[in-house]
Amino acid sequence: MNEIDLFRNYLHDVGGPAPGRTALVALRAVSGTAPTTRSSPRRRRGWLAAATVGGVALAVGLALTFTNLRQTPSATGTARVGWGMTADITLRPDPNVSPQAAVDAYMQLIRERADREDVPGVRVEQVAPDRVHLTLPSATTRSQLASFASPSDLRVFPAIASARSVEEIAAVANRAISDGARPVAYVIAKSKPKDGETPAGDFLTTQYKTAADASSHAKPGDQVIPIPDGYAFVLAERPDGEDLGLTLFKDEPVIRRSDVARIEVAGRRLVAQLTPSGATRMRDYLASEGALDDFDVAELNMAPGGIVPTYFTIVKARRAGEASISIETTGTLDQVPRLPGALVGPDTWIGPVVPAGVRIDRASRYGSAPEVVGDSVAPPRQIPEIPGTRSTAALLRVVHLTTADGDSGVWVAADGSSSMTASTIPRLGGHGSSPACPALLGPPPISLCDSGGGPAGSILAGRAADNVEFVEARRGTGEIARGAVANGWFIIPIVVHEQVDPRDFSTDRPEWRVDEIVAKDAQGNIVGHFNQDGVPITP
Amino acid sequence: MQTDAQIIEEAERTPEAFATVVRRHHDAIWRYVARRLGPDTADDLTSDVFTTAFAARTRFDSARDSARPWLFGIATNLIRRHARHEAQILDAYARTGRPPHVDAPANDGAGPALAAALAKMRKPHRDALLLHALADMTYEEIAQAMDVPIGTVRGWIHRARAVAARELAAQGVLPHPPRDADAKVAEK
Repeated sequence: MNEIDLFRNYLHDVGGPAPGRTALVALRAVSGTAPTTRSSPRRRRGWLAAATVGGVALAVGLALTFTNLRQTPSATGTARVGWGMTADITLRPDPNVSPQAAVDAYMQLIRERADREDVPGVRVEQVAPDRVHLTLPSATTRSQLASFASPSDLRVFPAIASARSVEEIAAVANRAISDGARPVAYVIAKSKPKDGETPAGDFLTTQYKTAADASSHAKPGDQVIPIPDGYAFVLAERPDGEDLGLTLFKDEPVIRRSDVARIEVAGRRLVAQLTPSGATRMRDYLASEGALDDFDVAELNMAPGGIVPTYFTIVKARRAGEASISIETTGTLDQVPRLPGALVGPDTWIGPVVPAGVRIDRASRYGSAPEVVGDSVAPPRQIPEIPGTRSTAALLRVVHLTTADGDSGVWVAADGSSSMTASTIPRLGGHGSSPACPALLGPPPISLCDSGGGPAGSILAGRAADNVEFVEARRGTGEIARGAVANGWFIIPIVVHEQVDPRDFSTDRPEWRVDEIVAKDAQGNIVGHFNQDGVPITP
Repeated sequence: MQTDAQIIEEAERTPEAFATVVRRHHDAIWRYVARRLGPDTADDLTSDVFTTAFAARTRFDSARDSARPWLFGIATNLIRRHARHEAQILDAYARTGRPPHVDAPANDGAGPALAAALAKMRKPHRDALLLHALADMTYEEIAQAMDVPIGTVRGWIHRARAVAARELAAQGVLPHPPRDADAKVAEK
């Protein structure tokens, strides 16, 4: 050992900076606080007094920030893997909500989410008064990151009018404009149903700043109508299945995110408990407008980022200073997070209400995800082009199964960049592709990514954890369909031995229905039960 | 991954981007400062390093991908303002054997001898040696940090090592250095 080696150990026990210190330093640096030139306890006590008025405000903010950041910048322990994604996230607090309150709620949400989904190694760190930096191990796609990082929220907008036609809406809007409201323009297009779909009659609405701008984007058949600035459209469907309607609402919520204290869901029903101030505001609204009724619009911002417009069915004020609202939705709420690309668990979107909008500014990957392992077997011609993959030559077959009905398999983009899947079984006449099938974030043993179908059956396919050796599906007919597991993927073909009208795919016919998917380990022990949407079932 | 230079360039337009530079280098600089001046001073001084760096970001040499030498250079300059404080720390450690900054009993190991050696070095030599030993910086990085030719860094560290070797030998921590080392020390 020489003298340099001795110096390397010199006072090495001094430790490290306090948790959250980095964020505070970043905040001070970026906000331009004047550098300190001396360090003494006296200076530390006195620097607030010496600051300018603006500096005082900044100092208070910093003190709050530091107090918060010292608590728990890290949500969980050591990550299981050395790869994942990071994101810079900006919070836009609701009116009268401080940036720090929004950040506190957001960090709490992420901590709870990481704990509930059992995703160790999640870190969330405040880097500015309204910004955080998130590290999410095991994430590979932006949609996966977004589903984890996006809080669910609820806002309620007052409806101006609800109608079955664009013309009726336009008439209402014109009256407001003639009263002096500044107009913006909407292009109204009617979507065309795809083959095999029941005609839905959806309207697609896009807002433009001027009528000229809107006209330049309109296609033949589209309509351009002026709408008062500060108003917006929504396409809403009643939960009882009645016809679609167009609703024009004011873009100023009656109930803001910050008014919601807690959200509980069960099936299609959502109950939001309001804060005392939220309850007061709702009562004020009721006093001036008379009602919060079926035509008001609740916007549910689901974890994957979708918007589910719906109608109220019940509004209750339980007692002074407290209120809850109950909403019937058009979808089954506890299944929404299991949409492809949002594979983080069934309860992801439930948690602390964050009184702010959340925007992911930048997302990037770190580390190297495992390479795709599979066979260089060209997929059948029936497999359509996989989005994001230049040619089928770049696909690897990761799992396949041979049955009396033919071969089925899953092909994945070889570079692993898009993790697209495709599957086929000859009797089914080919099969489609799923948009994304990222690796699991947490411990659920399987994730279902591809559950589409052909005229004579369907394919259940997705990711399987290392401990899963067998998968099988219990069908609505009582039959057991056995699948295959390989290379971290699984496939279960569900073959229907009769021709069924393609429009009946979504019906509850027992031939098509899968009541349960079961995952087993090498010893045959059941390690997970799932419904046909991939949602874990508690046995 | 973006280089520090790219981030600093971005920070000219989007100041918040500079937070990434802080995240990357904060802990290393904090530990370096803390080992020289103690954790309390490290909190403030490290903060000053990045505040100074942010204010001077337009002067960062974008030809250098890493901001590490630049930031350690700023830290070294700021540490020099605490020269008297550091001298007191070194003197106390050398005399009492009680480690500064940490809650530990006095020891008769290499620590006090190292402190005595550091106290006897010329300040630039000490800075260069500690950047090399505590911050794991190469001679080239130290040259960038201290804005001197790399040959100067080699000379400074050589002389610092000679002083240390002599002091450590005097206290029985290391064997006595060869004669030529003593001779070179005498030349300065």
